[in-house]
Amino acid sequence: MKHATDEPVLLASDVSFAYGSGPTVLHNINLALHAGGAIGIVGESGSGKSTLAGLLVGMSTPTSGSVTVHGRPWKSVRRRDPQRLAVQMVFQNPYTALNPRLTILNTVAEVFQVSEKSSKAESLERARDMLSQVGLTGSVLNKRPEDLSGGQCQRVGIARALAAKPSVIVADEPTSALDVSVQAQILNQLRDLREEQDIGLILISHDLNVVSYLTDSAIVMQHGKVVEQGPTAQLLNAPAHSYTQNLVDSVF
Amino acid sequence: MTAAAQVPGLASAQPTTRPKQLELRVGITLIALVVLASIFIPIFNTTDPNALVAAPLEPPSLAHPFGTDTVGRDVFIRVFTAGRLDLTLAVLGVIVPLVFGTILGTVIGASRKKALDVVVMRFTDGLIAFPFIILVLMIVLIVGPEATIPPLPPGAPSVLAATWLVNWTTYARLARLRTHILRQEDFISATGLLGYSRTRVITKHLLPSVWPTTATFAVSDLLSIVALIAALPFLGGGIQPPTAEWGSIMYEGRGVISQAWWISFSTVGVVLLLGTGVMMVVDSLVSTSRRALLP
Amino acid sequence: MTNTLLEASELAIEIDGRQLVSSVNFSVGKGSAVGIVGETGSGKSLTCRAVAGSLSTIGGRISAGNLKLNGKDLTDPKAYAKLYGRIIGLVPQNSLSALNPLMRIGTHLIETIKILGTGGGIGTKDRAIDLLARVGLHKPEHVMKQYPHQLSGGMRQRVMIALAIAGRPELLIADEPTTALDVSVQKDIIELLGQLTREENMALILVSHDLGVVSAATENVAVMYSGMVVEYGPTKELLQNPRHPYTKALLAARPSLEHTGRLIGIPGTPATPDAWPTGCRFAPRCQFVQDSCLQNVPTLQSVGSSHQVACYRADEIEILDNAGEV
Repeated sequence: MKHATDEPVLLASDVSFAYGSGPTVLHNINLALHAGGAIGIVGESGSGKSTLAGLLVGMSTPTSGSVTVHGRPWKSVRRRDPQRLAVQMVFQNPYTALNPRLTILNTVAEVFQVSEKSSKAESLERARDMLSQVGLTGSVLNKRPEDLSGGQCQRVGIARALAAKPSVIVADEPTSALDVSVQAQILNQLRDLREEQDIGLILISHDLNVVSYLTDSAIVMQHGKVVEQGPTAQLLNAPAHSYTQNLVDSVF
Repeated sequence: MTAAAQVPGLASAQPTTRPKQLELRVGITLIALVVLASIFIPIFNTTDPNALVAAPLEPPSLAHPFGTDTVGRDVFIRVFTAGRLDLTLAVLGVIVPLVFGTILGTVIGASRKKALDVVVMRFTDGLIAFPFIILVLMIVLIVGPEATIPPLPPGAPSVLAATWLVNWTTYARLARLRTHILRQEDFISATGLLGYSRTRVITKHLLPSVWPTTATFAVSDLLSIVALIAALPFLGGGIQPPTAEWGSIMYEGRGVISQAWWISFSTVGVVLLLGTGVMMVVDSLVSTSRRALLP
Repeated sequence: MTNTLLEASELAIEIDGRQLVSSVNFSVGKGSAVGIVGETGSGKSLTCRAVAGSLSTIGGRISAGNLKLNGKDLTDPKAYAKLYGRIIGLVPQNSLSALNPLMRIGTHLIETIKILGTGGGIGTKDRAIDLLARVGLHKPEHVMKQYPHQLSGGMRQRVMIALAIAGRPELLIADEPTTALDVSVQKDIIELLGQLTREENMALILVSHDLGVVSAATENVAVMYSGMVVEYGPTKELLQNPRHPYTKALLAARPSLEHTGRLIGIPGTPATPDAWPTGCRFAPRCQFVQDSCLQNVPTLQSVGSSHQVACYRADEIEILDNAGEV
């Protein structure tokens, strides 16, 4: 382990955010993810959880406060910096997350080509390995996203993220667009990543069942604020805040 | 209103595919017909388009399927020789603005520098605000009807200069808009997280998705250039006689339409065939890409 | 059953000549609630459209089988003209696109009531306010004056339900009525639907991809897979004692707050309608598959008083399962 275990891999301190000169949509969020940990972010549409995801992966910059990855703020990480790859994302819509004009093999191979300057042949070989890890082999590798099912696309999305050898994966509603029978495969895959490769997970979801399956701690957001946080089991079994209570009661 | 309130929840219609594919096929066939005729007829029928082969204003016959014109030239061979020129000019006139406009629009759309965007877009606003035909006439006047670039006939360079200078703006706008939409898509966001260079993102991820949009417009633009070349003789510009060109044939035929309808009608017929084909192709392409945008 | 309202038997649906639904069997009793559960491409929404009479808008048609409402044949598209609003009410998935953004909620309701002529003695406006209160909207007078975009998704969906029940229909059809809503309001909407059907003696067809949603409001449920109903029976029994391997797998694949053990997904993906296997359509993904499953498509067979399942090995699997548990 390169990093001291007590240093968070991903740390958001006192993060606030507003779009342009608009109203503040995130208020003083604090969050610390340690290596191999898993944090759930729970909330409904408009609670600011997807905005928070954008800040955590460094796609946008907080108006105040900071997000650091391995101790370095995103602001100091340039586009081509290797550190840039440390946090990857798995998106909600598996189809729009992939370039519609590339075969899935090329989509994953490109990551190796860019991040490790591998030759074309070597990248393809490694992409094949990576895709077989997520259960995709054979003729499907030369297909484009439109010819695949949502579950298959989502696995490509995970493989692409893994190809960058991240320390953290931020998954934004990774299974809400998928059917139940396919959802289980994806959830298991995300769970295995933690256990087998020590990759940290930030899971954004409105589905408490999914959050309880994948995370050990969670924060509950409402109107851009954290209303409750703690170990997932405790949050779900003995919610303290009325909003959390309301969410728990809504589970079918 | 009741219907509006109660039925549509179940009515997110999926358009059917087959009629559109039929439309595409018929359209391509029509275009191919005109293009192939323009390529092959002048090869097999070696009549000189400028030679006086028979008496003036002779009606269609086996020897001269489209009859003869006011000075006794064969209209059939003239129409298809003109087709070669008009189609070549249309393709040349479209490709340069298509390539330049698409690349420029995509680069501007992908750029985070506001200044470049503002400068280029205000410039295109200015160009677009100016009436197209007057702008073209001005350029044609400046370049002059006599300017030549071999092997193109006199007048052709002025037409090309006009389309090249003006038309890229439309492609640049289309490409920029498409790029802005694409930038909202997750797969473009992902390229940032994966540390891909901006050049790579533009060439490998944005352009391949921008091309189909601008290229679809280019197909319909072909037709507008044919129309432009054909219109210029009426305004006193364009390709200079005696070179066979659709516009000038129609222009000549217009004066004698009551005695010799075949001169204008045969030309108009061929242009209409092409036009219908192009519009059918564009229509099916547009509805296909629209369907591709549906969830 | 004499009090059957709707009956579908061997219903088949095709779009543009592609058969997408091949054998759907279920019935809805008067005042009872039936759920249709299935995944993407299972044909649940098409079945729902068939009942609602809106297949033709997507170029589809009923190609075989029977669909009867109160004994009246519904396979003829013309049969629907007089049914909307009065006999059949629809609750759509997306309430925002179903409401005219430039019309106040009150106008929507009043026009609908006028067209259906169901004021029932009281004035149309009072009836409209009544309906809004009926679907659990506080301050109905205030809501009447609002425009659709001023309401939250949950409130709009309540308005849609009010519109759907304005004509006191005998059958309410709701196709994924909560997928566009936030979790905390989903349950309220589903419970409202259940409550309305009980109190107004309306029948309900509730279509969802989620067995949990359906269980909250229905008495019977039909599970669809690849264009056919593979299991049909009382909701409670089906959830506690699923007999079709697909239903079993579906339940095992759902994460829940109570069970945190490893989920067991269903391998593979459903076949597309062009590539349906000749035998049981679930066979390629089924852990109990054997040669006999690959010959012919199994049909629904009774395995209990009103529980039916389309699986050749339903009885054996029951024994295997019980043996496995011991």
